Formats: sequence, C-alpha cells, structure tokens
Amino acid sequence: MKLSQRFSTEGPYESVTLNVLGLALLLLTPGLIISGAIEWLSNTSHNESALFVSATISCVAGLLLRTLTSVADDATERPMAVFSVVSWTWVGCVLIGSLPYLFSGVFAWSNFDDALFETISGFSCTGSTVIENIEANGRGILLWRQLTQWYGGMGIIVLAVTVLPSLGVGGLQLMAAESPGQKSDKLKSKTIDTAKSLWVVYFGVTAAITLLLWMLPKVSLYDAVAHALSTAATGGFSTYNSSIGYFDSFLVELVIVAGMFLCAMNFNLQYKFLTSKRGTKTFSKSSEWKLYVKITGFVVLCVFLLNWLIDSISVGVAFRDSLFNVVALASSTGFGNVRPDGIGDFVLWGTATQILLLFLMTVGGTFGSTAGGMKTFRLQIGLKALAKELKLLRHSTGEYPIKVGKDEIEEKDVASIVGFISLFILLVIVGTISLTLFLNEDLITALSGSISAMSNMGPALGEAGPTTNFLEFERASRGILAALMVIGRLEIYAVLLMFLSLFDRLTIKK
Amino acid sequence: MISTSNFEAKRLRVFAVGVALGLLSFISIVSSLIQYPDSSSTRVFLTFLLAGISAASLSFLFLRWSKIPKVTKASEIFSISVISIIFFIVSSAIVYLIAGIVSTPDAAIWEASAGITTTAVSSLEPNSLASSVHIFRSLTQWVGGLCTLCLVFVATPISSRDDTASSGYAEKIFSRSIKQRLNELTILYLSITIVIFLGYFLAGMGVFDAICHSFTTSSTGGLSTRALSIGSFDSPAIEWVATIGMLVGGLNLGILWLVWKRKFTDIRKNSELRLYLLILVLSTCIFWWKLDTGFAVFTELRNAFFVASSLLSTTGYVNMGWEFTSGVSAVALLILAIGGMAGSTGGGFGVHRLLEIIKYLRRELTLSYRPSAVRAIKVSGEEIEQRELDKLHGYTATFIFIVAGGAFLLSLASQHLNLADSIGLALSSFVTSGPGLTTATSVGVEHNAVSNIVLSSLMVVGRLSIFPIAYVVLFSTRNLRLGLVGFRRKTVSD
Repeated sequence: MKLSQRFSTEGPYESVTLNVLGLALLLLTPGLIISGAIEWLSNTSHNESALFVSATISCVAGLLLRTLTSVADDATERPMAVFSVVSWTWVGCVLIGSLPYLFSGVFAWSNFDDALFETISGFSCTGSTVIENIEANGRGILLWRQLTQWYGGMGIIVLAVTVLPSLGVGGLQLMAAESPGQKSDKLKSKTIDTAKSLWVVYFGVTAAITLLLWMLPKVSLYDAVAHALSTAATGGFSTYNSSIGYFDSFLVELVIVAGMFLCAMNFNLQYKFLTSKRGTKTFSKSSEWKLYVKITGFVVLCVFLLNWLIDSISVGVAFRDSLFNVVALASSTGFGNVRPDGIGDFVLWGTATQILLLFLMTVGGTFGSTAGGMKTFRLQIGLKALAKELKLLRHSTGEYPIKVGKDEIEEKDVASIVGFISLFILLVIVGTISLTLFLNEDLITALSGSISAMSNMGPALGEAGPTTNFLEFERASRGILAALMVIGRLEIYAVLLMFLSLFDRLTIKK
Repeated sequence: MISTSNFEAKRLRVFAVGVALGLLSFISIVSSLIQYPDSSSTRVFLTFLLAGISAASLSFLFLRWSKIPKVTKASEIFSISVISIIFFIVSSAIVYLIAGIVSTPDAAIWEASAGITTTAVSSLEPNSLASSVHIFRSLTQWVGGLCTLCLVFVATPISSRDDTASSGYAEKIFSRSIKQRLNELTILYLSITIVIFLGYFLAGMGVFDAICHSFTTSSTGGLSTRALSIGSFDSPAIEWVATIGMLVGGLNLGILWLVWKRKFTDIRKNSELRLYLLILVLSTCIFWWKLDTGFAVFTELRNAFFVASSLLSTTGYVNMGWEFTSGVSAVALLILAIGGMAGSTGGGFGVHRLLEIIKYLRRELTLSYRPSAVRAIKVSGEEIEQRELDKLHGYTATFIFIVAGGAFLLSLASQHLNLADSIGLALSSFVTSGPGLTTATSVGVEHNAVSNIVLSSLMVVGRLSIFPIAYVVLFSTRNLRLGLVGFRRKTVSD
C-alpha cells in the first residue's frame, strides 16, 4: 500500500509538505489540551487559556491543512521533497509549540526568541533551559514543556527509521539494514508500521518509568509523569530548578539512571528484545550496544575513581554522583542531581574528569534511540578505520576490510561516516569560535556549550553547568546554540538538505 | 634470509644512533668553541667539549660500521627517525645534566626535547645562562628544523609509498638526485638563516643575539636569549624582522626555491600557499580587532601580525604579555592547531591537510544531495588519491585524540591547571609551538616530573607527525605479542 493511500486526504491542493505538517499539528493538539486541563485543575496558577488557545490554533491549522491538501502518488520520490516535509514540519511545530509560553507570559513577546529557544530545546530533546525560575510557572505549562521533549522523541524515532536511512550519508544507510523493516529507498508504508511499533515500545518505557517513580516516596504522580516524559526522550527538562536533585533520593536517581540508560539504546533492539523468543541474544549480537555499555561503564569507573581518590569525595557520594552524572551525559539527557547543599555539581569536579565528560558529551548514545551526539556506531567505525590505517603502516599492500559484527562495511560508507565525524567536529569549532569571537563568551563555556547543543545534551561545563541555565549566554549566542541543536538533532546533512529544500520546494499544485 | 634482514635492521639502528651522535657532536663542539674565551663557566665548556669529542668519535665508528644503509620502505625511515630523535634527546639530556644546567632528569629530557623538536618551552632563566648554552639550545633547534626538512623532502620521497602531500612536488621542484637535493635544501635553509641574521643585525640586535635568534627563527623554534623573548628588545624593527622570519619559516621551502628559480606561475597555482596567506591575513585582522593593547593603531596592527605569525608558524616567540581574553582564545587555539605548511619547519595539523579536509567535506556534501556526482579532489592541480584521504582522516582522529589525551594526563599530573590551560598547553607542545595561551603555561614555568614527561612525548610525537611513532610503537608491541604466540605454539607442538 502506498503512503499516499494511507495518509492522503482528498484536498483540492497537492502538497505532501503541508499535509504532513497538518498531521503533526493535529498530533500536538491532545498534548496541548491535556496540559491545559492540568493547568485548569491545579491550584497554583491559571494560564489554561494560553494552552487552550494554542490547542485551538494548532487544531484549526492542522485541520485546514489536512482538508485543503492531498498527497500525490509520486510525492516522496525525490529525496528533496522528503526533506521539505521534515524541515517545514519542524518549523511549524516549533512555532506552534512556542505559543503557550508567549500567551501565558513565561516569556514576554519581546523575548520571543527565548520562547523559540525553549521550544527547540524541547523538540530536539536537548534540555537546555532559559527559564530563570522554573518552579514559578504553572503545572500545565511545565507539563507542556516536558511534552515537547516527548513529542521530539517520537519524531526522532520516526526520522530514524524512515527518513534518515534513506538519506544515505553519514553512515545512516547502514542503519536501514538493521531496522526491523528492510532497506528503504523512500518513505514506505512498511517503515511507517515499524515506526508505530517502536512508538509502542516508547510509550511502554514511559509508562514503566512513570510507575516506578510513582511508587517511590516524595514523588507525586505529576512529578513521575513529567520526569518520565523527559527521561524517555533523553531530554532533560525538569519541573524543578534543581532538577532531580530536588528529590534528594538515591532511589529516584537509580530509576532515572536505568531509564536514561535504556532510552539511549536503539529502540529496534528493545523492540526485538520484547517480541522475539530469544530476546536476550539481540543485545549480545549488537556490537554498537556493547561498545556503548563498555564506554559508559568505563567512564563511570574512571570518574568514580578520580572523584574518590583525587578530589577526595567520600566513597558513597562519589559513586552516586559519578553514576548519575555520567549516565545522564552518556545518554545525552542532561539531568542534574545537585542537592540543596551544592553536592553533585560536576562543574566543580577536577579538570581530568571534565575532559572525560566532554568526550562522553561528544559521543552520545546509540543510533535509533532518542539520544543525540555523534553516536556510538560512528565512533566504532572511526576507531576501526584508524586501526586499519595503523595496520597499513606495516603492510602497505594489505587488505583490511572493516567489519561490524559479521558484515563488511563498504569503503564508501566508511568514508561518509568519517566525513560526518569531521563535519561534527568542524561545526563544534565553528560554534565555539563564533561564540567566543563575536559574543565574548568564556572559552570553556563556549566549547562545552557548542558540544552540548550539537549533542542535544542540556547542561554544559564552565558557567553554564547544571546549577545555572543558558541565560548565562548572550541573547545572540542562544540563537547560535539553538541552530546547533537543530543541526545536531537532524544529523547535520539533513539540515543542509533542509535549507536547500526550504528554497527548493514548497510546491502547491492545483 | 632471516639473519640478513636482522642484520639489515641492526645496521639501520646503528646508523640512526650514529646520525644522532654526529648531530650532537657538531652542536656541542660549536657551542664549546663559543665559550672558549670565557673562563667563568669552565664546567659547561669542558662538558660540551668532551661530549662533542666523544660523540664525534662514537658516531664515526658507528657510521663507518653501518655505512649508509639503502632505505626503500617508509617503515625504515620511521624507525631511523624515531631512534635518532629519542637517542638525541637522551644524550643531550645527559649533557644538560653533566654540565649542571638542569638539576633533574625529567627537566633535562624536557629541555632536550624542546630543543630538537623546535618547541619554545624552557624552565631556564635565559639571563643566567652561559653563552655556549644559548648557542647549544638555538643550534639544536636549527638542526631540528633541518632534520624535519630532510625527513619531508629527502627521506619520505625515497620510500616507495609517499606519505605527505608535499613529497609529490618535492621531486618536481628540487633536483631528482638525492645528494643534490640535500645540498639544495641545506643551502636554501642556510641562506634563509643568514638573511634573517642580517635582518636582525641591521635592525639593531647584537651579533650574538642575532645569531641565536636567526637559528631559532628559521627553524620556527622560538627559544630566545632573553627572558621576555623578542619583547625584551622593545624595537619595532626587530619585531618586523621576527614576524617576516616566522612567516617564511612556516612556508613550504619548495615555494622559496621556486621564488629563487623565478617560476612564479607555479607559485600562483599553489592553493596551499593561498590558504596559508588567507589564514594569516584573517587571523591578523581578528587579533587587530580583538587584542586591545591600548597602543596606536599601527602598533596594534604590527602586534597582531606578530601574534598571528608566531602562532601559525608554531614558532612561539612572544613580543609582550599576550592577554588572550576569552574572545580570541578559541581563535588562537585554532590557528595554533593548524600550524605551518607542508614542507616547512612548522608543526601542527598542516595547511595542506586542512585544505584536503575542506575539499573532502565539500565533496561529501555534494554527494549528499547529488549521489551520482563524481568529483575528484585536487590540491594545487594534483589529484589526491583515496588512499591519501583515508590516511588524512586517520591523522585527524589521532591528532584530536592525542591532544585530548595529553590534556587529560596533564590535568591529572598537576591539579592547578584548569580545562582551558591544560588543553592549550597540550596543544601548544604537540604542535611544537611552546607557550600556552595564559600566563600559567607560558615560558619559564616549571612543571612537575609527570608533566615534563607527558609534554616531552607530546613534542616528539608532534614533531614526527604521529605516524612514525605509531608505527614503531605498534611494531614493537606486535613483535612482543608474536613472540608470545610463537612460544605458545612451540609448547603445544612439543
């Protein structure tokens, strides 16, 4: 069955871009309505009108777009058209998503860029915030803030199984082979089914985290839902200023650590684990997953030892903080667990520890999850390419194919992965330079801020650590960082194509 | 068969040691002769003289036994260069210790590595040093520069598989005959040094200072006879000479040869040169705009040009206490990391590699929206093979990894370094520039033993452009492992 047949509506105008945007806006509407209801029911503040108005706008715009447009049979034949869909959907969702902040007065209309920053940070599952005092806001607004991350996570899962593999750059084509569907050249109906089943897993994980959190003392149902939403999306927004540190409970941290760790893993693997009979084998077969576990475990151990032995933090606290913060950064979530007495702030750790954290922030999670960053499989292939180079020094005529698992990887794919890594580093450098040179940010804050934004992490080192927020950056710097978030989230190349496609095609045929 | 190859390998090693000793004897004897009229520091004079004579005789014996081995493989060049440089560092560290210039072995190793790798770091107070020590240090840097050039232009093209982009046009620019090419190189290098010397002399520097500084300028070494480096002369003319000298030091020597031969069309075709000059101009403008020194506009321009030239050529001269505020520190680090051109004495990532990476990324981006496009990567009109590109990525990855690893080890070794300082220091040593970006890491700061060793290894690895060291390390560990496997097999068959 063709995509057009499943999703098309019978509008008079032919435009796949507007049609999908309409669908996305319709999907946002329930989230807005639920948030509005919570705001209405809670007794803290009453900004429900902001959320309900946004919901109405979103719903009306969505319906209008859906009824007015239809999708042609060959609409997704051209890759450029697919990117047009992705880019306009992003733009549309961010604009609508920022409305509640503006209507409710979280940000003044003159600071609309902050509202956009917060929304982009949400939809890209980053978790960097520019809200000065989070707890001063209504529960509904904050729930919407958590929901943007959760929606972002849903979006990235769809992208990961449908659009990005078909892009064929940065090594993403390899991932197409691993997904439960098969190699897809275009948006196929079957990949949509895959996405749906992954959504079920995503939903299940969120529900499980909610339940576990709710069972713990000190955590209300609202807290449990709010934090489960951003944990599953590896986002990192919290409804409290001191993030997870508010609960000051090791048990809560353990549940969140397990959740973050799980959600930085390929959702395909989790799906296979749940559906196939010999589920445990799916994990042992995935070399990317094994490397991810190894790296995380190794860094937890190193950071723990460094904190314990060199910075002389007591064993228990060192272990607790190392485990939580390393997993939070490795999964690109970015929760903080700074307690009221200031313990657990990784900005204050030793320099050597911070270099390890920077490394983790760059690598990020695995592909096919909601985590960001350069991705473990690229690191894996990069390391193998490097090993090959060193072997070639000895035998310059030798043949050393690069293998992942049992499959040999083509030269062309290796080249594109290596190119991606270079581009990632280049963009971090460009970001750092523009932040320091034009906006006079501090070097380490700028460097870690750029990495944090590119990897959709959340907190940075230096001045923008877990205890502060991104208001530490100049207003213009926040614009640059928001751009880096989008670039990082959409795997760089996609953004380039997005820009081209913005100008290329917003065709509306009669 | 095995015994002959073993014999050949032994000959290579002996040859490498002989070369190192020969260089050391040359440097020691020259510097001891400088000291001759002075009676105040007899210990230094005697140490240098004895070291020179003994090194000369040993080197004579070694080289006579080994003769000049026939080198055909890249791996052999790698072994020779690694063994020579390490042996040279160890033996000159011993000279430093015996002469009583440095008191601890790790500091001696550090000083010695700074010399031969043309890095401008030192914990010594220049004003208190005897003149022969100054000559020893600057001559070591000069010889280090010459060895780098020989490695790039003579040794690498001999090996069957060329390793640097510059080797491609080394053959075209210089003579084909190795001996003649070596002569041309030496003459060119020597004449640059003499011109720089004349420049310094005419600009008002004393003869002795001018000699030392011309050695360290042409080799992009950067050690100075004064505590405040070039800044202590407080003369615009000297600063201009130093700036131009450093600029020339970061140039591909082949380009200077083309200038000499008046082949200007070839120079115009060279895209690497254009990028080098572009980076220089851009960084000068950025420093001019950002480094607020409170002087007149023209003085600030000169200052900015000096800083840009010193960083890009990885020389490491300082003309005043640079205040790298956060605004320019990232730019300064980037320029430092880029470094000089291929075929220059400057270290760093290399402008040619940057050019290749830029072109590679452009191709990748083209391919992403036009998958069927075919685009060759050309640098200065010559196509770069895929093999070269693979190597380039390996180099880039290792470069970043080593700087990060170095910064990690440095911050483990000394707790007071902050993140920016440790990255700056590791990078600066790795690209063989020297001073870091802040006062905590500038010239004259002493480090502890672990930091000294880390910094020395960074300098050596950086000077040899990573791969030779990687090869030798891997080769030795591989042999070790093979030995173990062989042993196990034998026991099984028994």
